[in-house]
Amino acid sequence: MTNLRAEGVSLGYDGLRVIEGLDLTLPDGKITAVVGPNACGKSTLLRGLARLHPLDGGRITLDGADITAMPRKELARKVGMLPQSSIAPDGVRVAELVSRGRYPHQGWFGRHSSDDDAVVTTALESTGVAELADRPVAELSGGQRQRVWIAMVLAQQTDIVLLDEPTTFLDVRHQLDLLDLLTELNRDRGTTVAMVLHELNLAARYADHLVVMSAGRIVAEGAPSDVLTSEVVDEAFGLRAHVVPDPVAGSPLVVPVGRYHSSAVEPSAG
Amino acid sequence: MSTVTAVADLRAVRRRRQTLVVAGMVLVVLVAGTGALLIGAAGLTPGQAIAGALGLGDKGDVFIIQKLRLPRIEAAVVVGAAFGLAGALFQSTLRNPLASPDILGISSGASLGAVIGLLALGMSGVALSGLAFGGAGLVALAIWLLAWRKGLHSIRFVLVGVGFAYLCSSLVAWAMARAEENEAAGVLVWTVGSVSDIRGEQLALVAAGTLVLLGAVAVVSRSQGPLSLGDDNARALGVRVDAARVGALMLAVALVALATSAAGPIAFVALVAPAIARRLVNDGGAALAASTATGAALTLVADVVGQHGLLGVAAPVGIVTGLVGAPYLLWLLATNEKRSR
Amino acid sequence: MVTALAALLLVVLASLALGVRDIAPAEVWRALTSPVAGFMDHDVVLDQRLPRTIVGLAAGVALGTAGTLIQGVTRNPIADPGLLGLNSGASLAVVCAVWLFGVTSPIGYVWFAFLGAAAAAAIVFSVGRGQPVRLALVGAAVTALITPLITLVLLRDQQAFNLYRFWSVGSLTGRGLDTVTALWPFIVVGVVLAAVLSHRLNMLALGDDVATALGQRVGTTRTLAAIAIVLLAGTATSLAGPIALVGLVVPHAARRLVGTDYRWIMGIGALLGPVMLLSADVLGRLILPRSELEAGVVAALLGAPVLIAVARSRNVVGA
Repeated sequence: MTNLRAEGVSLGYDGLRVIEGLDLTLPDGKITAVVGPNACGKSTLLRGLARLHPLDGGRITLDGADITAMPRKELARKVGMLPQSSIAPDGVRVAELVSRGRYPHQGWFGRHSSDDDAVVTTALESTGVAELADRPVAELSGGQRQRVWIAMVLAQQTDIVLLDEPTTFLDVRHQLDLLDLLTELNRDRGTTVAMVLHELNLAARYADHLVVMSAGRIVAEGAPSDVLTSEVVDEAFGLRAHVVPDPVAGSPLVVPVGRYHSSAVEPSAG
Repeated sequence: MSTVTAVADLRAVRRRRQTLVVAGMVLVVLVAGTGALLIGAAGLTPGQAIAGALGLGDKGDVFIIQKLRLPRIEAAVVVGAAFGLAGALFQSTLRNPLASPDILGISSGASLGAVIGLLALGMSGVALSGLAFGGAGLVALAIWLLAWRKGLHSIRFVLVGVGFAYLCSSLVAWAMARAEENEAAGVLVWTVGSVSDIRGEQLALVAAGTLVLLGAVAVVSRSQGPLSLGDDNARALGVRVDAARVGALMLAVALVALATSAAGPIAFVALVAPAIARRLVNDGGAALAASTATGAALTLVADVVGQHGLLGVAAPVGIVTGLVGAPYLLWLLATNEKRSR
Repeated sequence: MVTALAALLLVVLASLALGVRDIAPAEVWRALTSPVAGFMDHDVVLDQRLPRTIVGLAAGVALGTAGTLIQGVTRNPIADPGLLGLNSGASLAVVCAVWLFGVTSPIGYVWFAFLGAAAAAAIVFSVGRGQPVRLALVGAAVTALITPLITLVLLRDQQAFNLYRFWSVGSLTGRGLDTVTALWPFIVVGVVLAAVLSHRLNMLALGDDVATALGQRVGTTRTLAAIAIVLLAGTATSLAGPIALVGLVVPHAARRLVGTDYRWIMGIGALLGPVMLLSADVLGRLILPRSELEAGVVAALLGAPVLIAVARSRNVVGA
């Protein structure tokens, strides 16, 4: 098991501080979801965890070792990351794109071994895109394309997978499909998953560990049922909401109030 | 058939296609090369030519083949390969299909260096080559320093390069306007490039240098795949993006400077050859090997066409490359409508 | 806008007053309003400086506007008349005019230059089919095709070579006012078209789909823009030769000054074009003692640092 941890981390862009002195530990073998309003720094945090963004302060450790001191390839064998809105180069085909996930495992000349083929195949199959292997990525639908990118990260065979808004642009069914897929990955292989999500209720249902952020700091974290209260939603999003049990999963279900259409009672704590 | 073998098969198909393109271009080189050996003012028979190539037969024939025709063919192939590969590296590393030494000012830097040597210092021969090499290197270095700002961003590099291209070429144009009539013609030749006078030690030097650089590219080329997915994805896959980009660009600049110092800035090979190669291979990759072969084929064919006056005058290779390559590229661009989304 | 206008007036005045023979502003004014025939200062202003100033104004407006249009339509920050093959088309036509028909007077080859630019643009736009990346590639391919043809003609014909050597540098001198008189309607039509299109370019900047969704006929915009580009860039090249960098730098500078609204960029670009071209011309008269540097060379010397500064500024990445 590997353990990714942020200690007193500060991140920003050109002098503009987005995150200041933040601590976070991704629980081993669990699914963590990071939620928060736009521009609260959740994507920046994820990018920092994957060393895509330089730290202004603090450190990030993997099993106690500072990740900035690690060769990038070694890190890429342990932590996989799917950034937001990746664009495939023109003409590249599904199998080829997924094969690029093998990069950190290959030597200088990048010869593909039969092991690589097996890993790529498993990744294609477990994301349900094996039939598309020979199709150009540009011709796929949004849902298929996202699966292909996830297959690429799976082919990287890391113990930790970070995903920045993987469900954006997907319809409800494909969102669920994708989160189910990540759940299977987590349950079958024990992969630690951490993702930024916009959809609060799906985050609450699928995450073991929920991190609520606002203005560059963590407002609350823990089991969704403990964390997601109407007070926390109000504090993080500035939004009045009822929180009721999800009739399917029992996880908290956030029902926002908004300015119109409210006929029922005022929201109460709980 | 299991899916594992299916994935392996798909990869084999892609590889076969790459190999096919490279093989096709090598075939073009062989055919054009044979043609270039056989035709010429001396009018040798095929038998005499082959004997000459092997060092047998008439002394004069051996001289014509080994000292005149072969070196020119070899030079065209070596220089063309260097330009083709350099263009492919520029384009894939900067993720801009227009990025080539022609557009980025590195070629015009070489021209400017040579023009200064020619007009102001009255140089010729190896010294002039050295100055061209220096011009190309200096411009590349300047682009580098000016484009670097917390890492190397593609757009910045391209824009700064374009600025230098215009700067250098307008200075060359000005020098040409101010020069005496007979000198101006020499300047014109140095702005187009030629492989007619590369032989002996110089040829060996350029060939050896190109080979070494080819090997180095083979080593670093692996990061080109992940790099084409964008900086973030490449980093997440463990590529040290800035280092990889700097490495690839340094090799590309070295290839261009080397080839340019010998042959002058042979126009458009670095721009056109990779564009053709990528369209033929069509797998979304950088097509480095195919671009190298295409560059060699394009340059050799262009030189054969130019040398034997198929255009009405004996023209240096740099004039012909655009004429040979551009129509083909235009045709490819015009006909691949369906694929470009 | 006011600053840009003031700058333009200033360079126009400088262009009339400065040179090997410096003339006081008051004397320039008298030369324009009540000229005394035979008075050297007045003759210099009227016969030499006024024509080149007018050529510079016309070509500058055309270049600035055309450059802005080209970058707006192709969404490519390095697109300019040269990259779309327009300059090489014009150059080829000019050298052919000299070679085949012995045309050597500016008023004679102006039309060839214009037709050459238009023909090249027609090929580029029809094969490029409006897709930004393709347009740029096709433009480069056409340039790659035409440049060798020019060189071939130059190698065959000494007269064409001699004329081309001077023409290709880009200069405002040696052109009579008759060239402007012949071509000004093109500039007017082009500028009016550009003004009408500038608002559409704002939508196009958001992508074809968004522009279409906002009710724009993207194809029509592109066609009209192509027409305006040919009119403007073709005229500019015919008047002043292939001037490097003005069409490329001006839109970048304008964007730095007024932001992203193309209505403003277009207006400022139309003013900055002549400011840059005329400053280049004036500086060219002053740099060397008793000799001149052509406006084209100085424009490149001025433009390259500006372009590099723009490239180094923070907001260019991702633009």
